[in-house]
Amino acid sequence: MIFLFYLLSAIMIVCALLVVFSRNPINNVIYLILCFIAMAGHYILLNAQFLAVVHIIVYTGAIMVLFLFVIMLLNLNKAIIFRKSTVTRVSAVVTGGIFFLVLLAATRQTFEIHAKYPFNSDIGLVSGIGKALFGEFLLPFEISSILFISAMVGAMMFGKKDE
Amino acid sequence: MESSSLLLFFLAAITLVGAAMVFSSYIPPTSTNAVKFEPYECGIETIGDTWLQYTVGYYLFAILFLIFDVETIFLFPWAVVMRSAGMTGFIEILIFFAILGLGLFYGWKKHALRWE
Amino acid sequence: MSALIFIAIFGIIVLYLGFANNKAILAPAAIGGLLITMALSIKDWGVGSKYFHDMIVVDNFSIAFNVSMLIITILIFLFGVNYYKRMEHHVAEQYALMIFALTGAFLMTSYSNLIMLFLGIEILSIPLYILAGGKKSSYRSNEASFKYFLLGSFSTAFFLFGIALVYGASSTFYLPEINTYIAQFNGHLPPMLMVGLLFILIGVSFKVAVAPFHFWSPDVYEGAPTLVTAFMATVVKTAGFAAFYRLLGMGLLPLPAALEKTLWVMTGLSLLVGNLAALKQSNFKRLLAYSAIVHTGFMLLAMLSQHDSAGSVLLYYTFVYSLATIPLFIIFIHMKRSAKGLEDLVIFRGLYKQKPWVAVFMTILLMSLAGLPPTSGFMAKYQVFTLAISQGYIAITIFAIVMAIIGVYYYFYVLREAFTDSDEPNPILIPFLNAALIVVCGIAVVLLGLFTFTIPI
Repeated sequence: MIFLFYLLSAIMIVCALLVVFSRNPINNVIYLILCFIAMAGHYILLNAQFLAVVHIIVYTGAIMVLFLFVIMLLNLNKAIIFRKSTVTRVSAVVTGGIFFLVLLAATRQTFEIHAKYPFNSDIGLVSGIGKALFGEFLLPFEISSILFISAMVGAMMFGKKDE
Repeated sequence: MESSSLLLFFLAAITLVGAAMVFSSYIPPTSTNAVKFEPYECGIETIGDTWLQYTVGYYLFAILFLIFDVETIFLFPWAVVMRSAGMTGFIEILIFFAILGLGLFYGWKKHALRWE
Repeated sequence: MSALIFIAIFGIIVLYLGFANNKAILAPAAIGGLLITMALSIKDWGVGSKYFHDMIVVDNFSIAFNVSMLIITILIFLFGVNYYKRMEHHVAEQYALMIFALTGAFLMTSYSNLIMLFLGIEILSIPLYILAGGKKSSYRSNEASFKYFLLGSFSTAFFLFGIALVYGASSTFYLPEINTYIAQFNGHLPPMLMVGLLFILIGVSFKVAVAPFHFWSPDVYEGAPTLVTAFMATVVKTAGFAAFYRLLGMGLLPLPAALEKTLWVMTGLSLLVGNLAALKQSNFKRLLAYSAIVHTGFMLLAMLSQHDSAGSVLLYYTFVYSLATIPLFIIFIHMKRSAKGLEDLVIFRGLYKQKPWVAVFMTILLMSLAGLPPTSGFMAKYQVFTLAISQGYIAITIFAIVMAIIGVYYYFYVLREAFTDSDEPNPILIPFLNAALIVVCGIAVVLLGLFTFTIPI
């Protein structure tokens, strides 16, 4: 298990770095997909099978297709090189470094968490999610439909030509 | 399932697929020349880039697909707990679907589903 | 609770009213719906109940803020009657999206679970990203929408990460439970919890445009259609501060020292950065954006005091600020139209000569924003300062008072333009409804200063 964890993490980190450093936008998307698949592996390790499947279907499937569409929309024929001033670059590096340090400090000093809920191996199964969704989290579930409908309206407003 | 058997499964999959790819690249006779890398080996030479700019229309359909993709995913947990959720669960999922259905109907009336 | 359900459904109804092909019915119908929502909200006054496994807590605090936002939205819709007259397409969508955004704002005032706060912020934001790009043919509008969307989703990522860290440490999403969990550490929070709380704070601060996270606001305010800018400057700010106060008041009091210091710095920075930048602005919308950042500084000061009455003071402050801001945007849009699309401060030239009464009301509104007596803006600032001093925040209050005095300069700079004669006067047309709005808001700003209200929350 530990071996799998490190393998998946290594794949994720390498792919995430390649997303940032790769020049070709299509390659970036492919690496991001690999990164997402490795993340789905992490979900399986955590016993959250349903989440893993959803992650593959929605993120690696649908959202990455959207990403590809956006890249095709942008018409990135000529490699555009964004020139930034030295001050911007230095401050970006410093900010990123500080952010990394803070996160490192936070995760290094983590303490033992006394789990509030007893371990339940079925929690990640579909039925567990269903019980939570139609019980405790009913209102967030219902109200998210308002989120979807406003996104839909926005897509139609922007995507359609006005007659 | 044991995690070791899962690992074995992945290893077997990777070995089989990898072996097939390695075999297919070594066994057949190969010949390379510049013309082979043209999009059309025998035909008119291509002019300009092969990168086509898509119309924004694709994007509209993609995002509609995405929204209903997520909607279907919400359907799965309901189907599993359908018996225990009972009538209230049924009404809840119905409300959710009705609101998204109204969104789809709105797009239909706006002719957003018509390809131009 | 019934108000929340009603307004969610009502947004869809307004969306479908667009098919009636009659723009004239949209605004009255939308206002009618908001009035019904208001009645449904007030019905629950004083009851105080929890719904859906404590996801939503409807108490006097949330009702007071909801009603205040409803009043402001009604004013904006009345403004919209004339504003959308020239718009051909998607008028119903504009109203519907604003109502959807209001649904999110309702969630932000009444959540008690971090998941609900996240959903509320998202339901508020996504319609706004769309509304900001409402002028499809205008590059600036597109730019505003895109910038807002990119930076907004970036801050949402921080916010979600913060929720995850807090959940990881405390294994709960509920604010009261987080509060008891924090209390056991006696101010020495474990780093994971601390970082999580800071990230949540960053996410909320971004939405209300507090100083280190304010960079988006001048560009978005400038590029977005003026009516949407008015909506963002008023309703979104009110909702954001209600959510902010609820987060602190329900989840984090007494504030851990590190968070208190962070808030202290953010208050000072907002006041300083907003003021310094506002002094140099020539575009009216940018000026109001920077002045809004200064006002967030004052509101943060009220929150910093951690007093029980801070909620009531915040409500008064946001309401009075919104009342003064909306008519200013109305005056601005008519001056802009008469100046053929120019947005600089010079467009106000000759206002006094042509419409003396508008200039007089503009003086009152700007005085309220600057915080001069006898307007309600003065009373709002006065309440904030007394609250902060009573809780021992002397240094920052003195700094805030100095900043308030500096602020008078740029508000009067606008006024000076209004009272200067123009070389080539363009005719200014103000329709009756908008004139009535300016007058009503101007009078309300003065009256609320004479009769301040506090609400038991």
